[in-house]
Amino acid sequence: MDIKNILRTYQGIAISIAVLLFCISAVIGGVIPSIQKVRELFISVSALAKDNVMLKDKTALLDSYEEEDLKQKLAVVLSAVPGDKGLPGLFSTVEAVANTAGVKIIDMTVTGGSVASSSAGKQSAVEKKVGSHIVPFTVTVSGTESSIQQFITLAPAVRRLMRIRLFSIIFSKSAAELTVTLSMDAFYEPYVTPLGSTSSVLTALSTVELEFIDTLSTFPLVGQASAAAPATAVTEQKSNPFSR
Amino acid sequence: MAKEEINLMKGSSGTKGRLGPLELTLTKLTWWALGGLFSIGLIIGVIYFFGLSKQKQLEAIKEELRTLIQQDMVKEGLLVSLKQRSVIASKALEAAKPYGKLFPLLQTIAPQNYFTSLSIDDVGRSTVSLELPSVEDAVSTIANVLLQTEEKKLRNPQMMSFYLKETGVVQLSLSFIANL
Repeated sequence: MDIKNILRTYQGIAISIAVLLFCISAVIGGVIPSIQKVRELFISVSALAKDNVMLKDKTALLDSYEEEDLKQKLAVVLSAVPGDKGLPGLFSTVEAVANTAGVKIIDMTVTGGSVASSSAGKQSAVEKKVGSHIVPFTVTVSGTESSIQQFITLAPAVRRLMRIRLFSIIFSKSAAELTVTLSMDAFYEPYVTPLGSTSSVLTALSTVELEFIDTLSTFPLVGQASAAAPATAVTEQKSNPFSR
Repeated sequence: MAKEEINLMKGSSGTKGRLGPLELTLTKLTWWALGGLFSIGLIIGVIYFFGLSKQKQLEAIKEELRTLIQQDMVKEGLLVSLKQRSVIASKALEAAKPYGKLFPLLQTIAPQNYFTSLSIDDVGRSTVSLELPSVEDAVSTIANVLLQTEEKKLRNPQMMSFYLKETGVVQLSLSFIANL
């Protein structure tokens, strides 16, 4: 039997097998990668849909706040814990508290703290514990027993937050006036509020946070003007710390 | 008369006999495979273009939302700052102990004129010194401290010293942590 005869005899089968082989290679080389591509496309579509839901929520959340109201609230919080040491404001606050309590300030000394700029200063262990930077200072006051009690009561209850770290009172039956030295700390925290990307998740102010801000706003603001919301902290976004 | 075969070449291939059914099956399979391939290709193509148009649509929405958010950047900054600062301020307020509340607490331990000194250390431990007219007053003072401890108004009370003078006056030093 010659070749021509063999070809003619099996040509039907050969064509079918060739077409089937083409189909199999088309499935392996075309269909499977296409299915993968479609799968990837749908994963990306699903991620996009999720992003859009989050962005919609964020837009709705931002729409629900008034800029002026946020500025006012931030000013309240900043007057409690300012962005810098604010020593003049601190002195005037302590002076105002002393005047209200009816005690006389004998002296007031800032006892330590970093000399570096607010943002460069590293936090000490105590500062880490309280969650902000502190300005330690001592104040010596003199006055009647009740006025000193009043000073100790008022000092941690004014808007510029301060804490009494230690003090010692020697009560005297003979002297009308007492002299007491108190070691105190005032709090501050440098502005470091870089904004995330537009797709970063934003949560609403919780009831606890709102209640806290309301409570803080009831604290008397004595001896200093209310702080304004820092423009630089809220408008600039620097992803590269070396960028200008 | 028998029909005379005039074609020298056979009309069909020689597989008709033995391989005929196989060829038929293979031909059917080939058509099915081709049809299937075409259908799957068509379906994938339709799904892909549907996905692509959906992706473009969602990307356009995302861009629109991003623009809106960027317009509200100041508001976002204020909100983020406010949240961060609230946490900081609440921690600071927690750290600021209201030592003014200590004075009414001392009144429940002994009359004010018996106290000779009061000091607070940096862990919040209060140390008081008292000069009491009699041992009975000293016992009563200690009993009051224990009562306030039971009422959880103070904790970890310690007697630092107890000194009885010839005159019967007692000098007492106590320390405790007030739960302010």
